[in-house]
Amino acid sequence: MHSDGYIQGDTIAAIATASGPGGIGILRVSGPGARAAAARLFRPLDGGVSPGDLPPRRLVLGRALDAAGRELDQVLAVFFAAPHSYTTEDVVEIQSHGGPAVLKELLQAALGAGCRLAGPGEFTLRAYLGGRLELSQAEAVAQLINANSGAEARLALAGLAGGLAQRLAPVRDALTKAAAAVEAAIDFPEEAGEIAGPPVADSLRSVVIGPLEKLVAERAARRVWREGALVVLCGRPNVGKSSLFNALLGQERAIVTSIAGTTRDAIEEAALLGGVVCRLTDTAGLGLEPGELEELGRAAARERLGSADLALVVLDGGAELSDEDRAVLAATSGVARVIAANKSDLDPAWTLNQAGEGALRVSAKTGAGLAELAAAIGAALTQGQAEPAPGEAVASQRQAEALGACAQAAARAMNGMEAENPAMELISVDLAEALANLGLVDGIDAPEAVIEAIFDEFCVGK
Amino acid sequence: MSALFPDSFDVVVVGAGHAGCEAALAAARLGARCLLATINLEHIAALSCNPAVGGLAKGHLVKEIDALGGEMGLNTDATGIQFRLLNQGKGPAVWSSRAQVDIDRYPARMARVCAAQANLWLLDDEVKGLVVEQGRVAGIRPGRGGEIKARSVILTTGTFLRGVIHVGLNQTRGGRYGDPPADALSRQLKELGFNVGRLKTGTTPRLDAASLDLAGLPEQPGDHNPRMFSFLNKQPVLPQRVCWLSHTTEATHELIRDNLDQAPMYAGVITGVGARYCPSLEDKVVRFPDKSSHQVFLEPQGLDSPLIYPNGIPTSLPAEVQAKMVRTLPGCERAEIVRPGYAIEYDYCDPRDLTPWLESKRLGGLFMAGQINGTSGYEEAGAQGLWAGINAARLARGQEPVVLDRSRAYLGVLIDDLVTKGTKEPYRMFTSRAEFRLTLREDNADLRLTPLGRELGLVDDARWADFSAKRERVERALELLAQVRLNPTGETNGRLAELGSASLRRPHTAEEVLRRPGMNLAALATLHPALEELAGLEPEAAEQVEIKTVYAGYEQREREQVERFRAKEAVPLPPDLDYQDIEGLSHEVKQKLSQVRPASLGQAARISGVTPAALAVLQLVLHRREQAPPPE
Repeated sequence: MHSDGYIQGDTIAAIATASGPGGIGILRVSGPGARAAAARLFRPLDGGVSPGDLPPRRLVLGRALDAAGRELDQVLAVFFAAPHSYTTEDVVEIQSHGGPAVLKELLQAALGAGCRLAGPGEFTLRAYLGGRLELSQAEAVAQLINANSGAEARLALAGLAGGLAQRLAPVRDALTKAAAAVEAAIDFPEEAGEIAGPPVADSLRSVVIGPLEKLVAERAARRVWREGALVVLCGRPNVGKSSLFNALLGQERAIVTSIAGTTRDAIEEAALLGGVVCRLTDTAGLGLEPGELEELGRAAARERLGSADLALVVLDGGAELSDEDRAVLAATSGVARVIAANKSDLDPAWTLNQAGEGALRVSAKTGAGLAELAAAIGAALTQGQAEPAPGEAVASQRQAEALGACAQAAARAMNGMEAENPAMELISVDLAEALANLGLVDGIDAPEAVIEAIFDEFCVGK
Repeated sequence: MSALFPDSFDVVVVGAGHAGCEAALAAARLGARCLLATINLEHIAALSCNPAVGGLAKGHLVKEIDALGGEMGLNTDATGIQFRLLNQGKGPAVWSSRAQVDIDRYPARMARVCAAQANLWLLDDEVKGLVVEQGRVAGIRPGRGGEIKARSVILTTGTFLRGVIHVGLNQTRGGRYGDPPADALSRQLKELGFNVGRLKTGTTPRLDAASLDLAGLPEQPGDHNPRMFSFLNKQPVLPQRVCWLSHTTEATHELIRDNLDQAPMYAGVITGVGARYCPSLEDKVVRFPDKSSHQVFLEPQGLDSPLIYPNGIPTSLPAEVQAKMVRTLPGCERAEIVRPGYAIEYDYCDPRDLTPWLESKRLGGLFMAGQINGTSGYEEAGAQGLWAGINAARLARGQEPVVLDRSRAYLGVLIDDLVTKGTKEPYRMFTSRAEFRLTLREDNADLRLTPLGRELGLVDDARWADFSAKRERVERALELLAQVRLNPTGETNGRLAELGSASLRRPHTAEEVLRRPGMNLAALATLHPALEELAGLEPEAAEQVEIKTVYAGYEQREREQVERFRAKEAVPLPPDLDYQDIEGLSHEVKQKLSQVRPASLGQAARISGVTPAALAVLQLVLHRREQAPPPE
């Protein structure tokens, strides 16, 4: 029962229009809970508009919110009331310029707000079932579903062929064995005896949770190859952020697009740095005003930096490090960063290791060191992961989400196992959830496997 | 036949084992004129294997049979000589009841119940064949000749279809030790096109109690406060007995290894597939060579029986090897075998031919239950028998079939597994097969199913009154727990300290406090005057309230899953749907759907290999049929 398939009556969400960096992307939500979801995902700028009761068929300007209710980006939302929508259900669409990262945050928030990730072709299926499409189009819909799920299966297969399968096999094995131990203790208490919790917990930690977390983290690094990355320039005023910003854009002469249409003052430009498409923005773009770093303190600053893939810390190499500089360094210490000591055309006022590991000297004015800086940014973003070969799939959003959920469920089972009196019947629920989520990625739906494993591992039966 | 004996019935049940008795009783109690035919009237409800009922997941099934108005729970309570609740160290969702029963009294009582049942006739004869008319079953052919007409027939043939008994390399034809096999019926089923397969099961040697030295062995007593299987009963009727614990030794294992060539399973004589959860002693020794000892439970067969059932050593080694083998067990050094253990091979029919109400899709009016469907165990058999009996009676009376889905009962899980996935080895129930395990508990079997039993007509007024009163008290208590708020007063916190529970810092509902580890209803009742009435709640109702409260969060989670599950169960797939014709389905999916012909979209989803995309295509097809019905 790893997949609920295509049920009607619930609310589904998906990124309807994939976007490259800088393009327009749409998150579509359809179903009876669409309006309720909108209230959680969107805050209109016009105070007179209620987020849970958007006027139908009108573009409304507002802010997108992530799962924690934090503002993500400025977006447009439009509500279509049933039955006057594509799917004939209540539909809310949120249009964002923010690129894949923002859309993903939005999707996460939608899933957290009670929506289910739509299956391939499911919006169209609903449109058909709602009578919006002609009877003669039924076959076309079926083909669409098959084509899309076929493409997805091919992508998944490519992902698995790319080493993912080998890495997930031990994860499945360990989860199955843990579940078998738990089920044997429940179903064959007299023959299997009580199971020892700590070894099972250890195996979950080292073979399941650790490797899965690593996989998800790696995916984040490889993701930037295909989706680009958000790079935020941080630094006190007068260190030369703006000139470095412009120099980096000029360096590669590969401006992809200018972000237009957003009303905020942030300067945001795209450039190819070290082979990675980067959206460059000043801290102003994150709302970090000069001096604010100290006021907000580290935690708040980090939170703002949280949506960035990389912080480019800019310091003045020709002037002594100030308290403000140190505050910037402290605020960025927990995120991926590259440190640039600007103004290398002046005499150095401090040694690079005073600023931190991997600092580089550059000069926005002369262009010295810019190529190295671009390469360092690219390397930091991809963490040494090579660009995926054509046809090789990086784990999809769906896969990453499932693997993350698998790790979380396994962690709950592990904690349960470490308790003094493990509640087997509840741990079993977590392990089943972990296995079901893993099944979404490796395609193995084998509820019988746990029972098989019981007979392999335990001499049960009187 | 006597004048009293009709020559036409609503329902004929073939076989009077645990499935057959439940089936016949249910059908007769629903008002159907029912005939129960058996090859040996002396062996009604015989306990061919161990004299025990229940156990993990099986206990759930018996409680469900009882909640629906079946007989197995009542029969077990009336003849039980030891009651134990298994898994008490674990959560209440996986508590399971088990009882030793008296091997003579259990069948005797069941036979009396059947004999006394209105609308139920008994026939002592082998059924040689089915009468088939216009593609439907129309009756049976008894061995004595002629035909007996029936609107529906239930086959509960156990191990009798082409049964072959193995002791060592000796084989005899037989349906059970001492009973003939039923070969003719098996041949006819094959001719009718049923997919007939072969399974194997086995049993242990029986020992003469007088030859054992039990005094030195550890005893395994029953529970101090034994729980009954039936919701109607409070305590055992018969005197209670202990079991003893022994074990195999290195000497046992050596003897077995030395004689493996004479074990029919290892000599290649047996082709039927055995169950891995019920391994023979030979299997245990071969497959787990590192284990130096396996547990053996020495179970008394009854109050007056001179026999002991050594649970844990099913074997089909030659009788003389068995005789030496049992003497290697502590306490059994001078043991005499009264009857050797044996393996039995028998025919079963692929249960994927059946609908979720256990009627054949191939031959209308024919129902099957128990080992003929590939299951093992009295409880699995009884549960299917009850369901087949209910539906056969309904069919005979022109009523719609009833389906019990996986979210409502272990019985539903059992049947759905069989008819959807089939089985290649004897199928036994496990709690891990039930995905809604936290909701499908023994303690709430009555709350889950007695209303349905009442609706169907199997729950009499007395049981209904009893049940309704209990349900009302449980609901009232749950309401109270949700309403009453406990404030962090000195008095309340003082009382909590006495109970060894932490102080309250803010107001809590009584329900929240009851959820604390170690808290119970009796203690909770002392915390607030409004809760005092809870102290008077009967133990069964109090336990139900406590368990429900502890699992409340999980029950909520399961309820949401159940809703999604039922949405798909509620979409019927027409039986005449031609899957080969549907564009957009893969060849593999077409084949699987054609084989099972699922009754609902939900059942289709559970067939391995049927993808969400395939389900979406099915939905499209259904939708199209609705809009443009196929020409008549």
